[in-house]
Amino acid sequence: MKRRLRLNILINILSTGCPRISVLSLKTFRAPKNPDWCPGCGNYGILSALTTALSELKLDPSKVVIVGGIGCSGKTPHYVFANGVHTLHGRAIPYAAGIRLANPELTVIVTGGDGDLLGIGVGHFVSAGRRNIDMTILIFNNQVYGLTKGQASPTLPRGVKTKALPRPNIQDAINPVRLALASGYTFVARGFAYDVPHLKELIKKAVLHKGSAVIDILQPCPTYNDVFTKEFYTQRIMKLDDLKDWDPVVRAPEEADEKMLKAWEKASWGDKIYIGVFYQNELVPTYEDRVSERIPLYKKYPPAKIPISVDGKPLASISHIIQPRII
Amino acid sequence: MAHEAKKEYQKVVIDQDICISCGACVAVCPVQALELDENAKARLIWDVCIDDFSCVKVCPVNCIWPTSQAPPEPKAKSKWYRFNAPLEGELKNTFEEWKKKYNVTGSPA
Repeated sequence: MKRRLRLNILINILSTGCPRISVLSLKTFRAPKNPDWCPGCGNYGILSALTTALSELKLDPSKVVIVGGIGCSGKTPHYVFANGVHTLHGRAIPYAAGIRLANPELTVIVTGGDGDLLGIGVGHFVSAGRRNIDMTILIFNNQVYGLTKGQASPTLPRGVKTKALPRPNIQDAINPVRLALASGYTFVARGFAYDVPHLKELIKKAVLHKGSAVIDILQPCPTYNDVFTKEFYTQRIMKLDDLKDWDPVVRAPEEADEKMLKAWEKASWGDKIYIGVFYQNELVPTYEDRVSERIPLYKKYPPAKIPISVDGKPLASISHIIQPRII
Repeated sequence: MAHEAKKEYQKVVIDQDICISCGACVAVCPVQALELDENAKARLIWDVCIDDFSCVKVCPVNCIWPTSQAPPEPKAKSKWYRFNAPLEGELKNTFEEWKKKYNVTGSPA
């Protein structure tokens, strides 16, 4: 498996025509490919924070998997020098869950937009919180469907009219932080795409967190969103770390409700928009722990490490399983 | 692209360590005085810049300043600017004066 991953990386390097030595020294996670997002897009800030966070954590690129959905945000796996999967619309989380459960050694990061993860994929988003699989979910939240010419997305508030809408939005908005808290995510944070050093620290914390982590990243769309712009955010954004006595970490099970209520209160969307870690609880067992309770050897022999064939012959024989049942 | 290099142009200063490679400045510059370098960071083409400052307003992470307002750290860094053509005659003097006036110690790429 390890050899195959390394081989894949080598093939990747050869096919992209990048100088081999400089890439194999792996100082950076930036892939040798120029992103085709619009100039000034918030995605560049997120990509920059993600790649620096990964290299500062000194992770092995062959052990990192970036899973992207559909949308401008879904292209992120192409621009990160690690294993990447570009999946179906809204289904990035199920893919990531499968990858992580098959091989718990991997660091799995989901990159999806608000339309992808909170629109078509909202069912998977809620379910992932219930399972608490150890992975990181980054929501690129720009309030519009940028790739399809700027329609209203699930995070656009009611009554707001962005450039491409003929009339103001008729639906209410989802608050991603509150939805994540309600779904049972054990690390919930909000970041700002243009505050790269702050976002980088958030991503590092989320990757190191044991359990499902979600970061709602406020990302201005300079092409289609003329309401939630850089100026709008810079006037309103406040840091949770600057508040007195702000401690989002749950250290005893009885504290959980109180800390969640405080996080819920601060997650509101108004004249003040808080960024930082809202809630962190490592006392909830992860899905990997829950599986190993039932299958004690799961962590030692996860599905990815079990050989399925020897000398070309499969180890499991279906005929042996169905033979006794044939009448 | 040749533009008249006036002495009073103060140009801009870029901090490539803050730059997120978004290319907003490159897209907005009316005289193509900015480019993305080999690391995809913004770089100034010194002799083309005409003090338009659209790039300063448009930069999402505020890593571009008019030279007179720039902090000292990026001025000491190197390779954030280059020349369109080798400097000759009066232009060379203008460059030396600019360097001295704004205390720019970094070298060009």
